[in-house]
Amino acid sequence: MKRYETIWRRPLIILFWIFIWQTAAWLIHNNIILVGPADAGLALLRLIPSGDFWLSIGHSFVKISLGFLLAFACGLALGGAACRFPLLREFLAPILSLLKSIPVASFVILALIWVGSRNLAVFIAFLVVFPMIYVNTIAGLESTDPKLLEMARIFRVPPLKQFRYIYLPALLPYLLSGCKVALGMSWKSGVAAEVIGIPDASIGEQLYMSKIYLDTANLFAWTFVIIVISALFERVFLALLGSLQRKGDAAHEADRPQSV
Amino acid sequence: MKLTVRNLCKSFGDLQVLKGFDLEMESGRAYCLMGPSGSGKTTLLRVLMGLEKADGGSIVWENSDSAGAFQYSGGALPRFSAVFQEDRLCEAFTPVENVMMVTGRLLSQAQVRAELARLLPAESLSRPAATLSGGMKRRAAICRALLAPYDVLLMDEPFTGLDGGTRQTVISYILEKSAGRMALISTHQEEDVALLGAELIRL
Repeated sequence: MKRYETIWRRPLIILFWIFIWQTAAWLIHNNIILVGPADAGLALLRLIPSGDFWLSIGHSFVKISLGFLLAFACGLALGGAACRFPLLREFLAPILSLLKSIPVASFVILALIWVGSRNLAVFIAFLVVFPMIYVNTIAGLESTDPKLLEMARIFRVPPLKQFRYIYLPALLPYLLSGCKVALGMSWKSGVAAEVIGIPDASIGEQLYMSKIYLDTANLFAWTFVIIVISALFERVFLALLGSLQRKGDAAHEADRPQSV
Repeated sequence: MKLTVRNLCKSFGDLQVLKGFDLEMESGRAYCLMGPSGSGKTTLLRVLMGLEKADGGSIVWENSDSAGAFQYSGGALPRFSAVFQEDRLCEAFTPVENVMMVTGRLLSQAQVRAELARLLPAESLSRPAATLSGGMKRRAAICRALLAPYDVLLMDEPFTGLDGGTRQTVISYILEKSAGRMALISTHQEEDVALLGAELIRL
């Protein structure tokens, strides 16, 4: 009986808020200020059959995920190298603090001058994700148990096996929590950049159109689409990354870092 | 293989742990290291393995040539295997994987499994080490040390957390697997020395 209750609690709560949202839309009765869930849903249904819809999603998805994956690879490689060579880490430190403190909007303008609007989202997603992966890679590698490394030294465990048995289990929890934040950020900042740069056939362009035509229903529909795609991408990527993690790690669930 | 330690000294800050310690050991024998807690057993083992640097004294390893005569190894350390003070297992991996990490291609998975099964219950072999009990982890660590390739075996209180029966099994397993090589085992119990047929070294 209790399980039955918990299964239904969440959907009921969501239904409650949708009801509140719809009621608010009725009361305000102005489709520019607030669109109700019904109108937003209708707008979405109208979008789905159009070719532009899928093209925009495709373009933005390719650009943002490319930026993310490049940043992931670079963050991992440079983070690993920085752990190995402390001098490199010191060299990169000012660049990293710069990347973290410069507002995304400034980067967008700079990127428009440098790379133009076509590859804007790649560039922005990269710049936002790279520091997170880099920092988490270093933190993860530094959490490696020195006692296990000593053991590996005595037993003369070859480097590749050291990585698999000792470094990777230490690194993965940090990488997973870093990616969870970075994945969401890459979509939010990537789309924001597109709104400013308006590359052809992109989600950002569609949002910009909504702004011009004060088409709030479209804005809501697109927002919903962005949330769904970024959630899907996050699920798939984290599942792939998590599959590297061993069942045994579940035992340490409690002392896994929450987010960095 | 022969080891000669002369006048070994090691201190941590103001605390002098080893003071003018002498030791001689040869391959084909087991040695037991006994001494009260804090007498420097762990430190001695770590200095021998090269994990700590001695403050003074000499450690000389000699290899025996085909005629049986000893030759100075020229400062090269022999190949060690160890049970550390802690188990130092890779917690996310099974005992089988933990052993295969150090044995490489020396043993097949079936062989490793068969060896581990002599010390551990079969059901525990496919579980991550994190889920094993303290005694099981200890036995897995002992098995790993004995199956790895080595010339010199160093064990730091390997029998902690093992009850009477398993202790017997483990001791006979150690004797079987380390035969012909040099083994130095620190322990708290006098009866282990007799069971191992070992020469007693007091710290």
